[in-house]
Amino acid sequence: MNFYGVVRRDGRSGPFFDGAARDRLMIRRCAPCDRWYGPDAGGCPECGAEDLGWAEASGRAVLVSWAVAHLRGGETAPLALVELAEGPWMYGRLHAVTAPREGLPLRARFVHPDEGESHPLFEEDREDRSL
Amino acid sequence: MAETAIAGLGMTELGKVYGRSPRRLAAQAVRAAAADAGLALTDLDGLIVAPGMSGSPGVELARLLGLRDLRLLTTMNTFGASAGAAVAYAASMIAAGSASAVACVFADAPLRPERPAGAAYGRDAREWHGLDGLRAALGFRSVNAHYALAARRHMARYGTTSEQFGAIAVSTRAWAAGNPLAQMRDPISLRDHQESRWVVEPLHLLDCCLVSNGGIAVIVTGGERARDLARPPVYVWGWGQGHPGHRLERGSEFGLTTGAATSGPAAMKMAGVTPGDITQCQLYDCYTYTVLVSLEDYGFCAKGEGGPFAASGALGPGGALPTNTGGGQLSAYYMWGMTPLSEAVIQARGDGGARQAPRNDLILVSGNGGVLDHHSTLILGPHPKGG
Ligand SMILES: [Zn+2]
Repeated sequence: MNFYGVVRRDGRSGPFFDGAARDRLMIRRCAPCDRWYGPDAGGCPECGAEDLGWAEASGRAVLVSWAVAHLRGGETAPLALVELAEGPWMYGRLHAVTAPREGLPLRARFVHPDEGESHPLFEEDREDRSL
Repeated sequence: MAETAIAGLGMTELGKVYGRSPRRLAAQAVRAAAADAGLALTDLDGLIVAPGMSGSPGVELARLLGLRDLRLLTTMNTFGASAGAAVAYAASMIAAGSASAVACVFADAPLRPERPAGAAYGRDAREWHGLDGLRAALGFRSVNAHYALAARRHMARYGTTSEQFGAIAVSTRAWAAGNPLAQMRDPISLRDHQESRWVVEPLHLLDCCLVSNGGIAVIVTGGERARDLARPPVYVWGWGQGHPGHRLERGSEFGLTTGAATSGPAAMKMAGVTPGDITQCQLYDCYTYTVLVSLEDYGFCAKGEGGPFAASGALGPGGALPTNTGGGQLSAYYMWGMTPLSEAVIQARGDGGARQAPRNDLILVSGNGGVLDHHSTLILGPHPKGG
């Protein structure tokens, strides 16, 4: 068990957590519309599709906004709203980001707790992708 | 559009009021509002019920009140925007001749004696389920986290500061000192704000609203009818709604622009006024940030200038744009959209006592629901429109 509790999958989240177990960020995609959505999207507002498929995202993102939750017991949680390279926004948690700013390049890294599901955090992406 | 007015206001005890269900609180508020207007319950032919966190009073409220032969009965819910939307709907129905005296009521009882106020709107667990559960596990335990992200985005984009949010907390508390119904009346300084504990950075405790139990109702009638009733009419000049539907994706204006940007102009156009004509504001202040961004979206200052505007002293006692003159949700009581609406009625009647703002001619009232998902606006005043 990690410090913020055990995470279990439910009927809608299996592929997300299966992906996380293999260090892959799985999100939703409407293939006919060629549009990407966040992992908990319930459908495609463009075409009305109700069952979106899962697809692997690059894991690259930029920081949109951030906050630090002060939880009961004195724990702090660095929260983030990130924009995935594919376009959707996702709520998440930062790892070792010391100077957050709008547009900060991020990449997903994965936590594999002893108990419960794996899941992503977002850390600063220091790799120069300009070449 | 035929003239309409708010003719009655009823409020239960507000705050740590235990042992009464939302339905019972709502019934008490409707009875008080009708009595305030000088109406019997049998005079009501419409009832609009707005639910809170702890279960809706429901349309069953009509039965509890013994209301018969209603011509309008419904629940309405766009969260914090409901109260303004309910008054607008009541006024529309009255103008159309489909009702003549409509009670709009909100009641909620999220506070329980045995648990802290924060627990009413938060969650905590050892085990979490699904993607929603993962988000909570990561630290998104309540709506505070989402508003913190919105506030931070505004700060990052426009240079808004915590001290500027603090100016709103301070001016709102200064107003609360004059409101006997306010839960928090002791003055605070900017330093108190800065030293108050973090809830979710960048939000301090004093950036966040109270949690309250209670109920508030208003009675809407035609303008002519209102003039024959017990209290001075509060005329409804205009209304609007805005539901931006920001998608969580690239290009979203989340945190930067709210539904006030469309709701406000619609209401002001209907009223035939501009921001410069508004003499006071009663703004939904679930957080200091919400006030700041609403002021921008309504056009009281330019986009991004809400911080300096708030810090200028304009909003407090003696300021150019008295705002949240009863202490708002931050310092008085948290009855969702009924907090700003009730204070607007009190101010329009000149009943503000020690906190009465000098000019009450045109009062802008806002409602905000969800995480900036829903917005409603009312323009109210003591004078008939065009009168
Ligand atoms: Zn589609």
